[in-house]
Amino acid sequence: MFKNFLRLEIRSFINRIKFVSWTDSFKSSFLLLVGFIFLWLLYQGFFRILVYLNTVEFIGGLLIIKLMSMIMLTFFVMLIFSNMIISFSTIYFSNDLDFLVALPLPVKNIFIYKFIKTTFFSSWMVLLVFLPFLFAYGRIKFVNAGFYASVLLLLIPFFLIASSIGTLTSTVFMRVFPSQKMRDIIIILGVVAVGVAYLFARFIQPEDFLKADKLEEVVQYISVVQMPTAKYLPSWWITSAIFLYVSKQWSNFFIFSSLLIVISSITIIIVIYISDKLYYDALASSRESTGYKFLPKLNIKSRGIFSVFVKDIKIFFRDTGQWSQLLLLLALVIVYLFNIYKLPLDTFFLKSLISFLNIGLAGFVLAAVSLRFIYPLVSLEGKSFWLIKAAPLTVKNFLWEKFFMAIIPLAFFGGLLIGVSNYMLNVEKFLSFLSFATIIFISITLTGMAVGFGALFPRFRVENISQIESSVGGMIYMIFSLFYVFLTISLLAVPVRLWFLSRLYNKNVMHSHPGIITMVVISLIAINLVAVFVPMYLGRKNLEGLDV
Amino acid sequence: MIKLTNLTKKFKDKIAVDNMNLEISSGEIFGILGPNGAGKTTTIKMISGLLKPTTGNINVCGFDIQKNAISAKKIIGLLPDTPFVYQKLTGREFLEFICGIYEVGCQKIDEFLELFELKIVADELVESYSHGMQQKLVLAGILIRDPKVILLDEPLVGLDPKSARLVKNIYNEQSKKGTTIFLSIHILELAEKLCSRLAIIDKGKIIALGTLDELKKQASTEKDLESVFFKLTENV
Repeated sequence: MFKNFLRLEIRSFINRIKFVSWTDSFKSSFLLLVGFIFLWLLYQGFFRILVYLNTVEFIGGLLIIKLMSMIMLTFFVMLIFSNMIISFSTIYFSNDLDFLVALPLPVKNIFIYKFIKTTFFSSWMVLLVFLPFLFAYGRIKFVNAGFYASVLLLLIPFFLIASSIGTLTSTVFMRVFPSQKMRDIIIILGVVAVGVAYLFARFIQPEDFLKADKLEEVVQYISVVQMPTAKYLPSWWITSAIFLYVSKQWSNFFIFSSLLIVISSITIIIVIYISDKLYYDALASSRESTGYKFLPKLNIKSRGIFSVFVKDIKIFFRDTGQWSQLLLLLALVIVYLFNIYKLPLDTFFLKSLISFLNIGLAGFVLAAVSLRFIYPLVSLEGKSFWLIKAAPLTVKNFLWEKFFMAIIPLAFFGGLLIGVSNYMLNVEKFLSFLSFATIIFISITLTGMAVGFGALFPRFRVENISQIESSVGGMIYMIFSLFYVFLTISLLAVPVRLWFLSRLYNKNVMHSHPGIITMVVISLIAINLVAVFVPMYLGRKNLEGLDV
Repeated sequence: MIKLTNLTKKFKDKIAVDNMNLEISSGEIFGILGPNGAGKTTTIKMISGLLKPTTGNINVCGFDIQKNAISAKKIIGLLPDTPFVYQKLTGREFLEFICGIYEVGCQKIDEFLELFELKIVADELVESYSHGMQQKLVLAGILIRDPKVILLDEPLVGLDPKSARLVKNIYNEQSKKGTTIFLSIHILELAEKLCSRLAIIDKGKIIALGTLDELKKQASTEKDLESVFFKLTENV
């Protein structure tokens, strides 16, 4: 039976490659290239850090183990969460379940098939990100191929333990709370947990950890050594197995390896045993439960394109998957402002430089936020897009509706970041005005770009929002938006430098270069106009010609 | 009312609709029949403006669907085979949304909810509706704005017998009022009873066109539509 499922997966994979169009193969090649560059940069980063730590006297080796254990702990927690979230869509809500349940198969076997799929979907990305670290570590320790093979094999039980815990949690939740409302509460709790973990990770100040050569006091050394390790978790067992292999302590290596294999076998047996008792009931209950009975009334009389706006607002606040992300945004703002607060700014030059670079940083944050919230707006019409296409509305108005819906929240968010950080940095008037005006322009342009690119690469048939932003189109938008922010900051550097020189020599240098200032202003206007109107135009043309 | 001139639609190398010419007048219930993949849904989608023809023209009540899309869409009502609607709106909110974008009054919402027996679930999210209920909701959204042309793709799939009878009566009433109904249908007995004129298409081409009697003559048979259909399609 599992042979058939395996054959099905392999056949689907082969067909996906076999029937790929030229444009899709171009997109995939581009994605592969970008992904490879990212992994290579990650490898270089890890290698430098590890080389540096390796040279720290006495405690270098210990610090590397500490760093590895923290990475594995982070991976372990992430894997549990991602398995929990992915298992909801694969084990309970995937499109093929009705077909599978109707087959003359034990429900337990369907569960096992879906469990393996969940483990694969949630683990491959972690494995990919871990590989640069593993190769960097292997390089500084001069290991052989057997090391890599052993670690990769030990990662399988490590992934399976996390997957078992995540899947078991979702199964119990689904059985106990099958209703939509409870699932929404779980999503919110999940998002809050990720937000809190993010805040925690920032507030333990990991940068202190990498200032190993500055650990002058014993107390500081102890505080680093006491950073979270969690020795009773599989993350520590795999870390131990890795460094024990390198130090050739074979008996201890086999103890930790066996621990991983035995515990993963036990957790899998528990998951299968419990799923055998609960899965069918949980699956059946999830199909019986209805949606909300009571909804807050939002009676706004609307006509024409404004009706689409009202509809979008209602749907945003009813879709927990969408609005709950605002909580993550809050965590992001807190960490951002905390970073600004922690900066050591004692000279005028440094303060001005940071205030200026802060515009770029806020711009990059806005690009990421717009990818999460604005880029998917067109795709979120989903399979109901036929209603828009059949309605007496122009695609142009439809896109501008999305633009105006998104512009105010994004500009407010950008203004908040810049406003509060300017206040904390006690920025001079000129820079304060410049940064505020720039961030408003960046917000407007990024909104236009995000809506335009979203219309150029729409994905109406996805199971969740993350598939939209992680698509090739999302990546292309991200590259263009980051390039736009970079270009804006580079151009702004010219007048800021003149202003800085004016302050330094106490004479007005800016007025003596009107040509340069004019050129910069004209270039900025041109870039912003192009960045808004070209993607909007291309997106409109694409949607107009799109077969629904 | 509806005029298709040399209408062709190609998907890459595959021809879905091949040089179709058709004229349907006001108040007609026109049925389009054909095997799976014959081009029925593609034709309906092109008339409604969801798909762009490769060549040819579509004229609805004097408006070219490509050149005067907004004016044409105002007078067309479309019920697709899988009428997917916004799952996070309630049934009532969906109808308010339709009234809003088509700029018609919302006064008749309760009347149509009642007619389609949806009033009891009107304030629940569409995601809790069955396929048939969603289909009735979309149909209510069409009738509430009184269009001149109604396009229906497999309109009775998913409906219970009571609802099916209700919508059949509604189509007849609409036709008497002068509304043109263009529908694709698989149930041949129903097509026989409901449609004033029929077209049988295969591989994107019209292979027979006319009233039931005219089709019988073309097929040289006196039997029912089923026999006519098989006789005409097996020769292609």
